[in-house]
Amino acid sequence: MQRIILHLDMNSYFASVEQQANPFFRNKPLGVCAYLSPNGCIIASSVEAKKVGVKTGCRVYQAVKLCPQVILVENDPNKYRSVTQKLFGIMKSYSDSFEPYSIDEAFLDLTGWCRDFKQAEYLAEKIRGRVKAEIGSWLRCSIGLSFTKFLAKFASDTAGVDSTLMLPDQASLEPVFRGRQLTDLWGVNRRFKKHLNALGIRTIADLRVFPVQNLFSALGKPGYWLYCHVNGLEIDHLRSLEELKSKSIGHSYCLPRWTVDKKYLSAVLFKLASKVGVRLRERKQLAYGVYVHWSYIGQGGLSKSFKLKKPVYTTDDIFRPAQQVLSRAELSHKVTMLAIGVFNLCPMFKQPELFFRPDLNLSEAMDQINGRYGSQMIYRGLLWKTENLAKDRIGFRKIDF
Amino acid sequence: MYDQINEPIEVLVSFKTNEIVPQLFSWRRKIYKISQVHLVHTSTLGRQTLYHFSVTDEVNYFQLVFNPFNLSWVLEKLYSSG
Repeated sequence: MQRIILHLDMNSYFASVEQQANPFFRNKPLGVCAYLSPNGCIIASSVEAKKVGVKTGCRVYQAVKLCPQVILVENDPNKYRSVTQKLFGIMKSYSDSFEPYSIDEAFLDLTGWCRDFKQAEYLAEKIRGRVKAEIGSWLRCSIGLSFTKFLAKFASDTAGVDSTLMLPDQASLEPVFRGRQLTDLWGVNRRFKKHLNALGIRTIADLRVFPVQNLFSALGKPGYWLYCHVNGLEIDHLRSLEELKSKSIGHSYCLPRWTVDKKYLSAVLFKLASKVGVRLRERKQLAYGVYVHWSYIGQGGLSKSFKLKKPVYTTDDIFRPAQQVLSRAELSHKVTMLAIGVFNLCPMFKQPELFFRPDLNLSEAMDQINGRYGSQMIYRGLLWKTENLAKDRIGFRKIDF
Repeated sequence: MYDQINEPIEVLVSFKTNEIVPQLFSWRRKIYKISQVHLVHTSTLGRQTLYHFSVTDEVNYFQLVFNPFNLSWVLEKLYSSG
């Protein structure tokens, strides 16, 4: 049976959703920002904005300088999550094997559901049509079809806006790889490219014919995997939601106010810890590790992680070790970003504590109240007047939305 | 870019197959006729699901929010193209 994998990638997703919602923004340069303050970051820009140089990562003040007519809106995670749910609902109606890759990308295994690539191409256009008809006509996507997961993604990355590219067999690979950079390959960054160059591999064609044993000896498994990917050898599979579950839970926050004020930083850290705690308890898990990280203005920062003998579950348990690190640290520069998280997760077990811990039930009770009436309906005093800190955001490549 | 309003409004809607379509609404003693619904998305407030309608008349964009729990409508935000 011919293996057929489809990869769908929405074009300029957040910006397109905003333009779908508000037609007065269409055909105009638009940037979606984390925050609208001058140092706020553009997290997505429309096709029109990209043409004038307003790209992801640009600061608000830079965007306005590049294009004074640029429209800037604050991101709306509920809107994007809602559209993604509808999008994935459409895709899942065509196969039982579906893997979300990010908020705007997903894989579909059509093996057995489509007779051949011609039928798969027809289905791809049907999906595109349904997205426009059922969600919004302004939404565009690139679709790739191939016989491996890697090649399907490469095809969608290569296809133009609102287009489909098919790589149905080995013969179709050489023309599409010709002239492409090594860093165009999924998983190859500039650092890995240097390692490949050191072996004399300058192009994808070089990589395809390089002796695989030598590649493995020099670069280990990543080298071997890359060889298989560019030669159309499938070594991957569509992962289930269980396999995709993250092995850690964390939250980070780029501070709107760069500071060495430890009272302010503690409040932010506690808010992030409470978000981590809510997600940990939602997943009914315990954690045997906590990490904390912050970045300084310019460069540098501090990262500390703790492996714990006793598991953490409540917000206080998560916050305490991180707060100790913060309180003892000498902050050499202003802090620009804070992050906290838990790792070494395991399922929750109900083992009676040797010493009674009322805070365990308190955390669960607060979660229940906030779950019923809205988050922040009840909160700890430390979070007083912190509504505008660490607001809801969609994490990069997070799929538990 | 958007004006945050968050004021209650009265809305006339039509119920179609699997969807509700706001037709016009009254806000600050003025009637606004909706020319098109461009996007509908949801959010949650605790256990409640709120429905957000992105709509336009000829010159304005409105985001209307329907709370099925208490059957209320709110004009959440506004953008004027003029």
